[in-house]
Amino acid sequence: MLKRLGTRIFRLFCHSDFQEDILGDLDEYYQHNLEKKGRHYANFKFFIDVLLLFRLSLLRDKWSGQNSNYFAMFHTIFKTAFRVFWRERVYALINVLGLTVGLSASALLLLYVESERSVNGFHRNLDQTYQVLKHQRYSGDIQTSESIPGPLNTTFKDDFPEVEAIASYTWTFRPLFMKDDHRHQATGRWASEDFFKIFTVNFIEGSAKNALTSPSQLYISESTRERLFGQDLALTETVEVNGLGSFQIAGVFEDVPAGSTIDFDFIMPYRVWKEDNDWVNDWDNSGPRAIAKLQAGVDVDQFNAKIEGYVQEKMGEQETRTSIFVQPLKDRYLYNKYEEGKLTGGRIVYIHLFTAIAIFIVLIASINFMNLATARSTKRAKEVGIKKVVGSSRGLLLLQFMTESVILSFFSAILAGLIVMWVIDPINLLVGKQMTFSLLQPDKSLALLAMGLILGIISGLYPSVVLSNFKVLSVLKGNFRKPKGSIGLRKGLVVFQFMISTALIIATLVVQKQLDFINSKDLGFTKENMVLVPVQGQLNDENVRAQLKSRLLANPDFTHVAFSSESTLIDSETSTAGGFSWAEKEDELETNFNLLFTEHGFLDAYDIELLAGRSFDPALATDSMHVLINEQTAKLMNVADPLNHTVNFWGRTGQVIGIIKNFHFSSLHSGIEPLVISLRPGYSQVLNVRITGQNNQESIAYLENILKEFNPDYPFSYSFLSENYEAQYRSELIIGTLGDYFSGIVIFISLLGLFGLASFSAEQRIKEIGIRKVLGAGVFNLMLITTQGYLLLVSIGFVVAAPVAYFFMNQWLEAFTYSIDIGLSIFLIAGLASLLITLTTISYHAIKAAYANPVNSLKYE
Amino acid sequence: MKKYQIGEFEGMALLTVGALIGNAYGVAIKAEIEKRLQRKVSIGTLQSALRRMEGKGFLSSQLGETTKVRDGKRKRYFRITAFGKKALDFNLQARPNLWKEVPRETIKFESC
Repeated sequence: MLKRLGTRIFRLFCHSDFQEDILGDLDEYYQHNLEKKGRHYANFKFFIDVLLLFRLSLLRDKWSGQNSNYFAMFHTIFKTAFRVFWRERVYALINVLGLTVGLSASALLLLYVESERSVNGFHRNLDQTYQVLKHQRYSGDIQTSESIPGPLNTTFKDDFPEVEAIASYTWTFRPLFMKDDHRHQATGRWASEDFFKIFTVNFIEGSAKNALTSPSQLYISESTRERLFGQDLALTETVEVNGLGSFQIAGVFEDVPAGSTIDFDFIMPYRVWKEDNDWVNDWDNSGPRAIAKLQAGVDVDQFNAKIEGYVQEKMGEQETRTSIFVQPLKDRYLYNKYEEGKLTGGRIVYIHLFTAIAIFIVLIASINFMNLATARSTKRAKEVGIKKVVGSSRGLLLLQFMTESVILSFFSAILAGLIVMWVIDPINLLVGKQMTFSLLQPDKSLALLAMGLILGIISGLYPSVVLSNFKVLSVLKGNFRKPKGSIGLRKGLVVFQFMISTALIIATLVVQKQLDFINSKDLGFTKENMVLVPVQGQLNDENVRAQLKSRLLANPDFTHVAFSSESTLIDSETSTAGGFSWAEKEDELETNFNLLFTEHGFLDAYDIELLAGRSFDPALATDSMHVLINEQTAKLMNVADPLNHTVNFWGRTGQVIGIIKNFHFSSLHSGIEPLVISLRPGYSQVLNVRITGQNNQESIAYLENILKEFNPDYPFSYSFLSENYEAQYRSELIIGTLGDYFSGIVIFISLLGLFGLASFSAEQRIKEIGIRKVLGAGVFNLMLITTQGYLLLVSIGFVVAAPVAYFFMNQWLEAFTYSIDIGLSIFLIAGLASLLITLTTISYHAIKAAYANPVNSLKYE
Repeated sequence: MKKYQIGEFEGMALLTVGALIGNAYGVAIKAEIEKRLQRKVSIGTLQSALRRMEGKGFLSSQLGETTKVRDGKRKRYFRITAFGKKALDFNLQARPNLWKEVPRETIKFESC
């Protein structure tokens, strides 16, 4: 195969006089290798030798040699190109710099987009794999979530022939694994029998066969195995899972890729979990998640229409507000936002945004190229004229100028590749991705080079047409004027560049202002200096918690210690619609009440303001019957005086003993929802520790020591509430940071182009300026004359950009319930900034021209 | 003398062609050089050097008889021309002459 290909290639380029004997030599050598080293080596060697035979002295006549017109032509084109680059090195440099920066920026953006798009892409039957989702209707609102009614797991497959398999799995939990003296805390899920048939994992040990059927078997990831067993194999070994008993390892799988919407380090049998959670057998309760494998070729919309009323059907008489549907797993990551039961986008919006920015950046760089090339076209008019006189056709001239632009952009593409290789790791850190790029990866480097090639062709096309279009007579007679059209177009392109730059400046400022707002917003609680530690192991004992609390408070660095089901950032789905009621509650009111379970001292620890009534009192045992509510709940109760009103919450009847001020327990994307706080120590999941913040390191070290003492089995882990708060705005923060960099890059490239244009026009107008100066024009006056044209263009760009940016940024802000007003100041700052940087860029040439001695510019001619 | 200019590898190939008198074709030359100098020679390097020297007039060549061994492809046998021999002589002579000029002390010193 390779040999035949090699022969064909060889015949293509080799001089016919030499073909026979060299091919004979190759054949002989091939036979020799075949006997000595085997067929693969011989084939490979043959092919390589053919490639190495591509020598000038062996080429066909028309490929080489002095007789070849093609060769001579390209030789000349390249020679001219490099001479032109050298003669006008500033412009060549500006072009290369702009194209390189532009290409590397867009390459990075596209890599990011690519890695976002590839999330969940590792599944083998991706086209048949679906996430089961649920719409839940409340009063005036439909909420969409992954948690679905539990019984679906057993009935779904039987009731719909389209369903090949369905697997339920739970949210993640973090138990402690113990093997001999190894201790490791891993994050994993409970999952039902068919899970591995739907979710692709690669088993290193064991297999998916009969997986998850035995209640005492466990599947772990490769890295978990390493933590527990070191380099040893783990199959059929037994590990102790704290609080759950011992399990036998039935399989080890390769770690789930980072690009997966369902992540886990281990999988345990769902049936064990189900036995302890019988609420899951009720159609009215949601909790588990599920993925399903449908038959190939099933139409999703039709299927969804078919299953819409399924839950209602199963519930029979009882009315439900729940309906289920499926979403292809490949869309799950990017299309993740549902509003009012309709898919409205999600991350895909950012993907489109980034792709658009990538295109704009390259476009702006190629505009630089076009502008500089057409502006300087007069310099090459004579060359074109002479070439035409001696018989060059228009096509050949076109080819010449295209070659020049392709050389530049190709070179830039290679440079850009090097830059991307160099910065990819820091960028990965910045955006939390694992992107890879190397010029040695053929697919990616070829894509980059192709980008360079296309860019070269696009940006070279217009200038080449203009240049090759010059009329011989007018060019050579000397009364040549620049073509009018190209000046207008050039101005238009500058306006376009600055429109995009200004729009990006405005967008960046808006994002920054909103992020500042998020950070400084009064949330209704104090988020600083709050350390959160998970409640696990020994801490599940109420007495231990009491001892721990007193020990911690003995240290003056610790001002408050409180236990609760969650911190003030409530992200679980623990909520109830029917579980909280009062005498006047209307039946139609289907509002979801968020729930928080605390022990004593929670409000004090977070500085949450009590508007009326009192907080839970340790002295009063009856407080466990009572609840605290927030303003929103008080309003919803719609009774004259909610305080001391009798309410029923999850089977306990008591009073509302206090009303707290609304605080933001979910992100600022959504409004403040009703909240009910109940005193139930059994639900404690989080230890909230308020420290003074004076000596954080010592405080954390102290906390660690105490926890090691109370909970020796569990590795110490903690987080700061302020970090968790920021994590809620992760995508906005990434947008903010990327926005900063990329608008900087766009502005830089635009200014580069402007710098080039300004220097060129200063050069062209040198005589005009000289004469004006002789006639008495002042420096300021001259500067005004040289700069006003550009300032006008930039201003027009601003005027076009402002409303567009306003429109889009308002849309972006709409995702937040609490957001800033864009305000005039942002536009003023952006406008002034773009004028100022433009002025700085072009003033160098303006000042130089204005101060130049007119004698120098006028004495010749 | 510029017209006798021969590269290091060219010189080697030229000598080998001379040594293999009557049997100097591509694979044989390649094998011979590889054997004597213990270095790898690619077909491309060798062939281009041979054609280059043929162009300069150091070598002449003619095609041999058809044999069964190489799918009937003929071998091209090279021979040194008189001009080639002169060039070779010139280059070989130049070296010992230069060698004689080098003071013995320098060599010793260098080799320490």
